[in-house]
Amino acid sequence: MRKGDKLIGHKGTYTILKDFEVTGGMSKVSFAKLDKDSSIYFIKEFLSPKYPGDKSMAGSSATVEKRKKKCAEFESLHIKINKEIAKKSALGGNLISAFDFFRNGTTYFKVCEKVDVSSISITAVSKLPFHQRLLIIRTIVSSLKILHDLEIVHGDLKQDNILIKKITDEMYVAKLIDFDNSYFSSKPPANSEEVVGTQEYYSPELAKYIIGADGIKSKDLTTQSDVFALGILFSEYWSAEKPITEKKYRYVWQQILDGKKVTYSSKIPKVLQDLLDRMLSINAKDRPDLSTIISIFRSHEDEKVYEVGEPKKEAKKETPTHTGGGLKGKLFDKLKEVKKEEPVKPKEEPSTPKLKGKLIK
Amino acid sequence: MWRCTRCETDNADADILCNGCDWHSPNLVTFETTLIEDKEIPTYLLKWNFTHTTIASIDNGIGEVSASGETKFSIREKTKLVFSGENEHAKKEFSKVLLLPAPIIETFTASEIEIRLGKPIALSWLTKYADKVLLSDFGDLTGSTNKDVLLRKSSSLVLTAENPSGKQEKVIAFTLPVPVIADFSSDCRKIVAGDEIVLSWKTSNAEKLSLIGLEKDKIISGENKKIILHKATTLHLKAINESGTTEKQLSIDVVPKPEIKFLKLNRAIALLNNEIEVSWEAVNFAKLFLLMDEDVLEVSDKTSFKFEADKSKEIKLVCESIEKLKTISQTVSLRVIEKVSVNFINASSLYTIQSKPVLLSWGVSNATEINLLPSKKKLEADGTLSILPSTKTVYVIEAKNELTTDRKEIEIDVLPLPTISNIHLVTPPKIKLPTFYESRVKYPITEKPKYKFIELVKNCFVRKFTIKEPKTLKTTFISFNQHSEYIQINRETSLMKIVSSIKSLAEIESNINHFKKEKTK
Repeated sequence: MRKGDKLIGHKGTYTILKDFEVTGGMSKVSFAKLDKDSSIYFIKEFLSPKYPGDKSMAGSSATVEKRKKKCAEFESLHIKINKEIAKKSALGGNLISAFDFFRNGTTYFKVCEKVDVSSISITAVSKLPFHQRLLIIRTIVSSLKILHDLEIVHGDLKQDNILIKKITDEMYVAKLIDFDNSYFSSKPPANSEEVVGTQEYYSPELAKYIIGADGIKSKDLTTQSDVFALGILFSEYWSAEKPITEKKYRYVWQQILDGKKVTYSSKIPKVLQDLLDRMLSINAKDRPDLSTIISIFRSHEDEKVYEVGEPKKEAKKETPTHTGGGLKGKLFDKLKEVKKEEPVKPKEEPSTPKLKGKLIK
Repeated sequence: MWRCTRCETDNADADILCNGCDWHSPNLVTFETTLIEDKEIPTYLLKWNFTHTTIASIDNGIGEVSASGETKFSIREKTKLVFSGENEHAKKEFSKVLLLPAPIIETFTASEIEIRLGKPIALSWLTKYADKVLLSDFGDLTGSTNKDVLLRKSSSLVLTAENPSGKQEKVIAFTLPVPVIADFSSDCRKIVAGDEIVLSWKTSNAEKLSLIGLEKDKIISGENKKIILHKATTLHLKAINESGTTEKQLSIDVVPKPEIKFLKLNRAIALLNNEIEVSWEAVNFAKLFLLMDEDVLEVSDKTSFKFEADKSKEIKLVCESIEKLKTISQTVSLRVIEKVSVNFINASSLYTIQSKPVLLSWGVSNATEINLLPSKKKLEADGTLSILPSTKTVYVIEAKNELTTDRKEIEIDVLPLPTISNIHLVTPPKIKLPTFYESRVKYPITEKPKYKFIELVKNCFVRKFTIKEPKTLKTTFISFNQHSEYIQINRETSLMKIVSSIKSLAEIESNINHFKKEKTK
C-alpha cells in the first residue's frame, strides 16, 4: 500500500498520505485522510493474520478454513473490544481507541485518532516537577481504568504505547494506545503462543502463562497483570529508571517470581515506593486496583510527600542481564537496546518489537 | 461519561473528581421531585442544586437555570430531563426521568345502585392523569366526567383510567330487584256478563307484563286495560325482568246480564179514559220497576199492568240486575188524544157568477188532517179561502185525527155570465202599435193560473180581441209584454173600457220602441 492509494473502510474512503512503514512487530503504519471530511488519521496495516484469498497464499482447504477461523476470531475480538471501549471513550480523550477497523482484501487495517504528541523523552519527563509527572502517571491510570472497568486487559503496557501530549506549558498528559493485544480479563488467547507482550513489562503470571508453567491458567490473567506493568512504568516516568533488580535477574517479573522484592531509584519518594511494592506484588490479588491507586494519589495531595532527600551517591545500578531466568537473553537484549531512551515518536504507534511465541524455560 | 478538558481524561458519570487531575466536575448534588397533586396534568415541582457549576441548564424547554433552583414542570408522558452542568474544564450531564404518575380515579359514583328499569342512572367520576377513560359496555369516555346509563339487569360497571404508566379501575355493582306489583285491581270486582271492566296496575322494574286468565295470555303495557268478561274469571298479572318474576291475581265475579225482551202497550194512542195495558218480559233481573209520570211501581212479579189513559206519557220499565250491578230500561210512549171537530164552515156568499170568487171560512179542532172537498185541498185548522166555482158546488170540510173523523159542508151556487162574441178595435191611423203575440190573463182566484190567449193582429194593432174563456171575468189581468194593468171586467164593464186599456198599453209600447229606434240611430 503506497501513498495516494485508496482504502475503503466502514467510516468512508481513506487516502493514504505516505507509504506504509514497518515500525516493528507485525504491522506497518502510515497516515490517511478520510475523504469525506479530510480528517487525518493514524492507520495501521496488520501483517498478520492475512485473510485467505490470495491464490498464492492458498493452501489446502483445511488450511484455508483454519486461517479463516483465525481471522474471524481476530476480527471478532477487535470489533468486540473496540465496541466496548467506544462506549466509554471518544475522540479527543486519553484513551486512543480504534476509529475504524476493516479488511481490505486479505489485509486488516485499523484507523485511530492522530495524536500530536510531545517529543519529550522519558528522562525529561522524570525531571518535570512532581505534579507534572504525577499528572502523566494519573492520566495513564485513568485511561487504563476505563479499560479495566470494561474488564479489558490492555496486555501490552509499555512506554511505546503511551504517548505524551503537551497540553499547556506546564501540563503533559498521557494517551494510551494500541489495544491490539488486549483481551478480556481471564480470557487471554487460548494458545499462549499468540499472547503478545514485552518481557520487560511482563507480570509474573503472564510470564508463567507464556512459559506454560504448571498451575497457571488463563483465568489468572486479569486486569491486575496490567497493574504490574503499570508499576514498572510508574518507576520509569518518575525516575527514568525501571525498578532495580538483582544482577542475576534481567526482568522484574523474574526477581518477583523468585520471591524477592525489587528496589527503586532514590528519586522515587517513599509514598510511591510503597505503592510500587504493592503494584509489583507476586500475587495479582495483592496488587491495588486502579481505583485504589487513584485514591492513594488523592490522599497524598501534599507536595511534601513527594519530596525526596538529596540523592545519595548511589551504587552503580545493577543492570539486568540476559542470563537471568534462562530466557532468550540475546533477543531481549537486542530489543532493549533498540528501545532504550528512544524519544517518543510523534504520530506513530510503538515501534518496539513485540515478543511473540512461547518462552523457553 | 464526562471529559475533563483540563487533562482530556474521560471519566465515568459517577466520578465527581477527574481521575486524571482531580478536577471537580459539575455535580448535581440534589435533585428532588414533588408531584403537585392539585393539577390535572401531572406536574412536578423540580428542585436542584448543582455544585462546581458555572452554567446550568435543563433541556426539554426549561433552558438555562441557576445552579440551585426550582421550577414546575408538567408532563404528559414519561419524560427524560437532562440536567447539564458546566465549569471551566468539565461539562457533565445528569439524566433524570420523570415518571408519569399512574392514573387516579378519585371518585366514581352512581346516583343509585339499585336499578329501576327505564330510569337512567347517573354516573359521575373524577380522574387524574388519565389519557383514556373507559367505561365497560359503554366504551371510550375520555373527556367526560359523567354519563347517564340505562341498565336492564344486575351488572357491574368498571371505570378504567389509563395512561402509559398504568391504569386504575373502580367498580360499581348494580342490582336489579325482582319486579314489584304494587297494585293490581279493577274498577269493579263483580260485573254483569259482557260488561267492560278496567284493569289497572302499578308495577316497578317490570320489563314485561303478562296478563293470564283470558282466552289467550296477553303481553300488556301501560297502566290499565279494558277487558270484557262473560264469566267469573281469575286474572294473573305477571311482572318479569332479568332478576325474576312476580305475580299477583285478581278474581272478577260475573253475574248474568239482565234483559228486557219486550215492553209494549196494547195501544200507543188512546182517547182519554181508554184502558191501557202495558206488558213486558224481562230476564236475569232482581227487580223490575214501572215508571209512569212520577210514579214508581215495583212490578217484579208482574208481566203487565193496566191503567186509564189520562194524558200522553212515557212508560218506562226499569230492570235492575242482581246487586244493582246493572240497570237497564225500556220505554214506550202513550199518546192520549181528543175527538176531532169541525166547528163551522161559512161562505161569503152562497151564490156567485163565473169567475167571481166566494170566500170560505172554517174552524176545526183536534184535527191532524183537514181537507176541503171536492178539491181535496189541505186546510189549516182555521182560515179563509177564496173559491171560484164554475158550477153549483158543495164544499165539504173534512177533519181527521188518529182515531176520529168529523165533517161539515156548504153549497155555493154559480150564476151564468153574458157571452161576448167579437170585439173590433180600430186604432188611430197614425199610431202604430207593435206586434203582440200574446197576452195572458190570470185568474187569481184559482190556485193554478189559467192562461188564455188573446190574439192580436200583426203589425198594427189590436184588431181583434177575443175573450174565449172564462165566460165570467171578475178581474182580468191584461199584459202586453212588460206592460200590464188590471182591469175589472164584469157584466157591466163596457167594451170600450177594455179596448181603451189595451189601446193605451199598445201606445206605451209603441212609444217606447220608437224611442229605442231613435236612440239607436
